[in-house]
Amino acid sequence: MPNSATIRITRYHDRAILPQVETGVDNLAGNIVVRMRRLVPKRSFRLYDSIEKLPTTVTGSKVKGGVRVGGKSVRGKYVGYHLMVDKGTSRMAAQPYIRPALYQSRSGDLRVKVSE
Amino acid sequence: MTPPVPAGPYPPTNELVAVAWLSQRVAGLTAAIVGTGLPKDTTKWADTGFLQVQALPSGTAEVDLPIRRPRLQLDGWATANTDGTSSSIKPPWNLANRLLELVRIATEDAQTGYYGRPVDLPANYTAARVQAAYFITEPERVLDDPSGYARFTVDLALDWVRA
Repeated sequence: MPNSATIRITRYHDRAILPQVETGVDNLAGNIVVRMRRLVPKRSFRLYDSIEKLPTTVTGSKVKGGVRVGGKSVRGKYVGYHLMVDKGTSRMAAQPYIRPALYQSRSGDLRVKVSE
Repeated sequence: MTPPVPAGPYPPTNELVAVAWLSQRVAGLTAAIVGTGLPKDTTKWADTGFLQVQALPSGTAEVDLPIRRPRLQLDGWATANTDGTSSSIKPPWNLANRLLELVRIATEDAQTGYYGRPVDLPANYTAARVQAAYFITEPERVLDDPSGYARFTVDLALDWVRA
């Protein structure tokens, strides 16, 4: 059974500016979630609902945030096809939504907080 | 009443330009083994492998210059199971990966004429000129294909203009 796919955002910084970096990483992860949800195919909305922002954490001088998709049950059905949808298979064309959400990132994503 | 489709010539599109550039410029690739869809008849590409091109919904939209900067997903496919009955044949992973390495060699060589010259598109489409192409990821092996094919995938950035 396939696991979830995770985008990890990790930054190391001087402790003096860690609060600002933490906010930026959290904003970036939130923007990626919004873009993934805009792009993801929406047949049953299970894949859509499996996209979630991971809590942004600070450990020492490391700030870690992320986005997770698939690998869990949504409304009674297991969502294990998240990578097949993104990359396609020999029998199905790709409907990319993970990589485009990353590629469309801009520097402004660090400053803009979005509501999920 | 819907007006008729205007007569061509039509402007080039991202996928058409990518397929044309790959099949006409990359040594070792031909139009028969490059396309946007994987042919179901594996006997046609079992010996050579197949390179599939799919546009990604990303890239950079240029505001000031008439240049396109799309990003595309390239998949190198290979199979040794041409009759579709056996599932025990080892997939030819190296053949699938080799197709992508042929593309990488072309992208790294700016001297041999891979770039700048117009590529020919299908009839009724105007030509295009590819100015740069480069990998933005490393080739990645994709396991668990439902057909048991060998597959490597990579993302390619392409810069092109109308010729």
